[in-house]
Amino acid sequence: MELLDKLGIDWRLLVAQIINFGVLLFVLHRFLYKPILGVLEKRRKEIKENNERTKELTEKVERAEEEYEKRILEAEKKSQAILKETEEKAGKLKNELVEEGRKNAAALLKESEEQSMREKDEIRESILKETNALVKESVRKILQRVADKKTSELLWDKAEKELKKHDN
Amino acid sequence: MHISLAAERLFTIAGIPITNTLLVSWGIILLLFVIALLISKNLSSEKPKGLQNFIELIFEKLLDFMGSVTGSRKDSIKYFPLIATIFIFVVLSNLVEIIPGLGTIGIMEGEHGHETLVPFLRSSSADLNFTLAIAISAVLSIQIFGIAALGFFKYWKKFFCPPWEKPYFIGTFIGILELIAEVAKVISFSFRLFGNIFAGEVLLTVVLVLVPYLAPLPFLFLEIFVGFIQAVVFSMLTLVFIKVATAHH
Repeated sequence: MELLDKLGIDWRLLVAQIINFGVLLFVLHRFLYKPILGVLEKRRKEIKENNERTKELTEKVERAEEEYEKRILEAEKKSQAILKETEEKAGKLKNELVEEGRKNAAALLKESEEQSMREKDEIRESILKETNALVKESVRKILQRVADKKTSELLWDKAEKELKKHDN
Repeated sequence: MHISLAAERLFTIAGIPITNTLLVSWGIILLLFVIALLISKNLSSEKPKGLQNFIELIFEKLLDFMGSVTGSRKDSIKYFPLIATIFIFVVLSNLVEIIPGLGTIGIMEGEHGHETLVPFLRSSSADLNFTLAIAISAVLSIQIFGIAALGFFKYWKKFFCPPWEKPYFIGTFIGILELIAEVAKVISFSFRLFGNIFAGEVLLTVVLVLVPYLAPLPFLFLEIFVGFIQAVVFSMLTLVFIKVATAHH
């Protein structure tokens, strides 16, 4: 007890100081910590929310950019494919047209050849007919000149028969 | 020059002695009460001004510092009122000692020829009643937080481990040591703070008596530093003990 007295420890003062501390704790908690911590936490929450929102929006923009790039790439691919297909189709069409043209030309050539052959035959025929008639006429005239009527008619019949053989 | 370990008694109210340190404690409480009222009255979330900014800065730094011990902001906020009150109360009590005239203005008491100066004001940390009161409050709070976190029986098993349960007598012995450690916490808390601040006061008084001009200046800076460090040590040790008491083993 003497030691406590020397150190100045008095239970009444000790209790008073404990009460002081308790009162201070209560007052500060009620009027300082609660409101200030509330403000700090509110601000922290707002900052956190804003950060999250920024992050979200950034991600959204990034996704949109990716989508845009993807679509551009797809469109490019599509256009390339369309171009290729068109080129292929055009090539095919060209080949077909060339082939058809060639076929037509061949058919036309063949037809014209046949036509010319036919004309040639016709000409030949007509020449032959004319020649035949000319020969017949010449023969008749010659027979009439060199022989009498009867002989000439006889000879004419024979010659006509002979000529008919040639006609066939 | 008179140096007294005990705080000087000024007068008595209803049988309760009023010492100069008690007066200083009340003064600090009143000052903090006024500041708290001023801040809570002009509180603004969007546009904080002057004093609120300063308090917010200190609170934010203290919370960050506490976070390095607790590891979670939620825990830091939970223990913040106790730790912050200890820190603010102790740091102000410590820094009061550098106010000029604190230990030198008072009344002369005593017999003829043996008159001693009884200063009106004295740094409250230089009174064992004050340091002991805060140490007891801190250690009691540690127990309360420990019980709240672990449950009454689990927490008290740390101190009272029956010898027939694992790890048998070793557990019982460790329990006794733990119990002594809790009492030792109160003693180390209170005497560390009291010793430092009381020594500081004595040092300042002695230097002031020996070389009154300029010489006390470096010591005043030293006392500001010591006062701040002691407040940090007291509050952070309390937090560390709370952390240990609430940890699940």
